[in-house]
Amino acid sequence: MPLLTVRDLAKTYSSRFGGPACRALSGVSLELDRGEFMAVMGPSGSGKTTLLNLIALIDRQDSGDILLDGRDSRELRGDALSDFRRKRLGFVFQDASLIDTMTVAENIALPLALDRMPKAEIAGRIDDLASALGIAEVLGKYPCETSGGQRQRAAAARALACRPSLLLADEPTGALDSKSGRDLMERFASLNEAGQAAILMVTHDPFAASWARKVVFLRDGQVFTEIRRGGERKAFFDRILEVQAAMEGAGR
Amino acid sequence: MNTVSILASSARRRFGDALLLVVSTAISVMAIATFTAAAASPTVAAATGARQSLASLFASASFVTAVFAALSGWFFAEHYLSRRKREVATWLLVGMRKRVAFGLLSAEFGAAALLSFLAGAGSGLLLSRFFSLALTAMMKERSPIALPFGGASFAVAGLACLFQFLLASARSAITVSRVSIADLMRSEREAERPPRARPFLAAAGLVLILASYSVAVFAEGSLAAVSILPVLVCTIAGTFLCFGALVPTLASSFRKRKAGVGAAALVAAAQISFRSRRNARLLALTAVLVAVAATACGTVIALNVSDSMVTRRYCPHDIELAAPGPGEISRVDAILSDRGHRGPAPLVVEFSKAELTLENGETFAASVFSRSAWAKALAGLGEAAAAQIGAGKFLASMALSGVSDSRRPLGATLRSGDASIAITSIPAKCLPPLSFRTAINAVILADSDYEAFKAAAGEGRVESAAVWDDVDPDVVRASHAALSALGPGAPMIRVDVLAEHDSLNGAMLFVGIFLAAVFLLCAISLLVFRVTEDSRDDADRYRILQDLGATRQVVRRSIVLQDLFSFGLPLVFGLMHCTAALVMMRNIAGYANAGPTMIVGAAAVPAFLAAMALAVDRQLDYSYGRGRPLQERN
Repeated sequence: MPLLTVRDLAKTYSSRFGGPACRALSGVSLELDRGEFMAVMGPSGSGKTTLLNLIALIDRQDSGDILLDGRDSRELRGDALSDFRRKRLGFVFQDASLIDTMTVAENIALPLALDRMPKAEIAGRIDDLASALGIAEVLGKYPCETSGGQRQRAAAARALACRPSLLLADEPTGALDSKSGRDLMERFASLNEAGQAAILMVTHDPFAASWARKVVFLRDGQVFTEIRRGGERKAFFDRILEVQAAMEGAGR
Repeated sequence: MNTVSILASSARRRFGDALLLVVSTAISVMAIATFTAAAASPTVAAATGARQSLASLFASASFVTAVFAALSGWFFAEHYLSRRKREVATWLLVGMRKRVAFGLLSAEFGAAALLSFLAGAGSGLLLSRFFSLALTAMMKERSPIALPFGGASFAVAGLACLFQFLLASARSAITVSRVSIADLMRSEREAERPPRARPFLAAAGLVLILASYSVAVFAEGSLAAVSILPVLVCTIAGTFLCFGALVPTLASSFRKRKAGVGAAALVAAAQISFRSRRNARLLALTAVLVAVAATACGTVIALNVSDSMVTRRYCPHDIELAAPGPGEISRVDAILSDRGHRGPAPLVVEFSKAELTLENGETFAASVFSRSAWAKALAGLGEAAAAQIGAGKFLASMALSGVSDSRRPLGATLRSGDASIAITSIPAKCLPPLSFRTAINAVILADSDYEAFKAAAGEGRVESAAVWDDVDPDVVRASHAALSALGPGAPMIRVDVLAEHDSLNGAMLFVGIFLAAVFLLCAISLLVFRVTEDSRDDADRYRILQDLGATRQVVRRSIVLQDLFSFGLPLVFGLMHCTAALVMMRNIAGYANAGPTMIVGAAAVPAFLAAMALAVDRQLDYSYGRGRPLQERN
């Protein structure tokens, strides 16, 4: 059974001021297997972030189904939703969203502490994640004392702390320079290969997407196409660029 | 490492933000506890002959301060939480339940309220001796006023803190219920858009304020009295409109000038314009608080100074008796003689009881004097009766405010039994030579009019007022008990009246100064907090500015200009409102003057400047120092 199943997903935003309604998603279907690394690409307004919001249970769909680990997303509300989010989902956003009054270690520890994990286990898990993501030296620092790349890796560590089955990332390299972006994607890929979590990443950066195993292209709220990586990452990167060019051409 | 320890440690680091609330609430708690203690103080009750007026005054002040402290919790929470929405969203992101998030915020406000209470109550206890001495000095009491800080004081202060906590928690509940993880996906400043220039609303605000000022300055007497509430409402509404619409309009037109405008000023104008949507209400509230504080303080100072002189003028004799017949006068004279009074014989002045109806329909019980009797009493004080009162005219005491304050003659009818006489006022203030008790609503008639009126009214309406001067203070003290024992017809003893006046005005002075300090401090705290909060958001903007080549001097000047606006404009508006309010009070009650405004203004300006300096320092700190993202480059 796939980890995530999305079927005929539709979402329309109505205008507050009586303007025309905006159809963000229409009939989107996709599947993500356990341990898979999928990127979702598309131009601005194609529905990437809406799709991520619906999968992350931040927003609700108008129609269609989202099955997460076999559970219908509509069943999850209130405390059950909080618990599911903490135990099964991890999030990384464009800005790291770290709490500025907590050290990096405390930020990573927070979801584990919410889960009432014993102190020793929390410490061990923080050390493991910090060494895997290369942030061991900044654990005692505050977010404002670290670089953008370190903050983003700390956010990834926090997202992975509870060992979620699915890591959701929204433009994680968007605010990083190319070196930091590359570094973060390498860490994501190695964590994914180590079986830590399946990753669903929304991005408009072909280079970042080339680290994924599968790329789904969205256009005008619908799936345009999807491609899978067969061999080298460089070849996959070129293939992504080709599809992007084709998508732009089809849009004209 | 568990949730409580992590979040407690985070809250401790954020405590600096709540410190201003704690300090201002602690001072409110101290004021509440002190006022409540004074209301329950047996020496305060004894100071005014067990009258309840002082106790009521202190109890009311305590209530007002408690309400203010409670409401400040709501306002503070609103601003405190506005910049923590993303943090709350992050809590939800990592799987925290909303009720846990609400509990955490409530715990922070609970800790702040508890700390405020402990700090305020402790400071109150420590400073109670000082407050006691200050109150004693202001009330001019010989023995110290006891301020028993007991269960009632702490209970009222505790209730204020409890309500502050409940209101802050309610605000937290609203915030938490509205926060969504989706907030993290939006840009931090997406919600902050610079407001549009709204010249019509700005003009409406100015018109409201100017109209209020016009009424305050030009309305007199009863018209001024009935205008208080509309003037207050229009001034507050105008202030909020001005800050909400006038500020962005001015900033927008300033930005359009471009030519001749320095970089620092341009940046400051942009920042002010950008923030005016969010900060308008706070700045307007600060202006209103400053106005209330300055007016309260200025009024009690003016009342204390001016009323003290008026009271002494209105109570010019050592002992005074309004007696229905000569028997009572002889009895008082005998008591004084027995205690060694060897001064001049009492001066006896005749008057007639009557009813005065003005052409506007107002009716007063009046004491009618003949001009010669009035001149005789004045001569006893070494003064001359200057006003010429002809037939058909009358001079009224200042107590008849509708008459005495009018600038044109007023028609009136004087009645007593079957007697009735139509008369016209002389528009001048009359300070009767008898005390305000004897001569309350005094009417002075020409001798011929008085004799005709007395004859028509009948001898049964005629009474006498006797006054004793140059009585030795020891004789007064020795006679006090015997004179007081005369019951309802007891004479008025000047030292008692002055003591009562001193007690009441001294207590009002104490309350006014304390309340003004609480309001001013709260206003300043709110401003410093807001400005500091804003400066955290500014760090990135100033980094960009420096990337574009702005020097540290330009950044500093821009910060100072913004703070001059944030601190200066509410202060200017507040003091302008205060001046208009004092002019209005002068028109109504005749005791205000410009001096107190200058005193309060002189005290408020340095306080605001000091707070501004603190804010500028913290802003520069956020922009340049201590591990913040922006590093000094110049």
